[in-house]
Amino acid sequence: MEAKRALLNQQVVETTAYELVELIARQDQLALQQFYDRYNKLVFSLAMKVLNCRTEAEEVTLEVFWQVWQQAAQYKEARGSVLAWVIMITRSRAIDRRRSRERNGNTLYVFDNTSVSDLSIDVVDDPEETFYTSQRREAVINALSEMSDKQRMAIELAYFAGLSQSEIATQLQEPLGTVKTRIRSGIQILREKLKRYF
Amino acid sequence: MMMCNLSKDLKDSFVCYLMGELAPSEIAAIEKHLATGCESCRQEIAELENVLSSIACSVPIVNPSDNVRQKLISRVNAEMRVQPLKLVTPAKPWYKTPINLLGRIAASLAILMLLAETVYLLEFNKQARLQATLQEKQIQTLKEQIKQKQQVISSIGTSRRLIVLDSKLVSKASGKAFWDTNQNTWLIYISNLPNAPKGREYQLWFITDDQEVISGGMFQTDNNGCVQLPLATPHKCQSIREVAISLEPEGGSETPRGAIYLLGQV
Repeated sequence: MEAKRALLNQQVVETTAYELVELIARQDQLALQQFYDRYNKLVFSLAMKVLNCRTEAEEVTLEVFWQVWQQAAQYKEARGSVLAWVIMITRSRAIDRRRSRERNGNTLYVFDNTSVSDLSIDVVDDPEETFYTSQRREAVINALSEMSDKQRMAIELAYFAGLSQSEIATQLQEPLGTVKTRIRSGIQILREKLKRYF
Repeated sequence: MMMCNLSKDLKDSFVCYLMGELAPSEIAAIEKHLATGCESCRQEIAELENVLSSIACSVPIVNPSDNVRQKLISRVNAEMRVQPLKLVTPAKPWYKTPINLLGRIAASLAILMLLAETVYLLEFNKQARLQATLQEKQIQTLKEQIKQKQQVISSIGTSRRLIVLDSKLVSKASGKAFWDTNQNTWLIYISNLPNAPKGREYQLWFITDDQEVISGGMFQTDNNGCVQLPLATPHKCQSIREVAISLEPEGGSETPRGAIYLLGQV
């Protein structure tokens, strides 16, 4: 790890995400900066998708990396990938912010129909991870494209708006059972399409 | 491999669990089950988490402003400058510190040795004080003796004569008689003369050229067999030839009857 840290200082090697988290857990600021450079676009983009507000999305981005800095030691590789961990933190914080905002006024989730076609593979700076992420991203977009609008909308409302299945049923004016089935089958489709990436 | 006993309803709720939609009691039930080490449920949840996180990858990519990075670095730097105070557990007082058996034995031995040394030092101090007292007495005695010697020395002058007294009975016994012919006084110093037996006393005699024997007086020696006799020449003495000391009955004799212990020629 010390040798890795020395090489990281020289920035001559690509450090894996897990190694970066280990270094951050040891209060390595350089590792945190590299971690930020690697994931800031994904974190900010997800926060923007949930909040639809640049100022709030930047605040959430800052909070996410601050949480990584403080809780890196609690990350467990067996629980999931670093990418999944960062996305989970981002989604959780962004939805909390969104719910807090909604207490003052009902804000409906705005569907962005251009999101599927607005592709950019330059998600992270790590070439290997960029390739991996871009491949998976393409697969996700393809999987979502194969779903009906109502199924995709149910999944997006659950994931990006943080709505419960009952709230989704109300918003889409569909029976709760139908919404549950759509979400469960939608996740199953994604699982099948993305199987080779896990 | 352990059997999974989680209910089907909870297993179907894994997606809701990952999205934070479950009630606290349901979350607790799933986490309690995961804590038992159910590998199949752990893998299922990890895979579903990857599926859900993949949905995030579908969002259009937007770049945050550079301010975010700068704010993060500033915040971390500020935190590194102000490290939280570490709680320092106060050390237990010595009497609350646990001591193992060897420690107790070692401590007991150390205390015993300390006590023994203290007793020894007290006794040593007592002996030293006693010796010091004795030495002070000896010094006092020696000072007295010096004073006497100085008196003897001071009595020796051009007008004084020295008569040495010898003993044929007691080898160590000796005496010196200083006769000031001008003042017609005597200072007789005697040493190592045995103490007179009970009912006896030593008697000093002056023997003249005419063979007349005149008593100079009675005396006793001290514990060391010493005595200093300052006296005047008896009036009868015109010329003195010898000085003698004999052991006589208490009260003295008219003429020497006992053994002559010391005798000196003038």
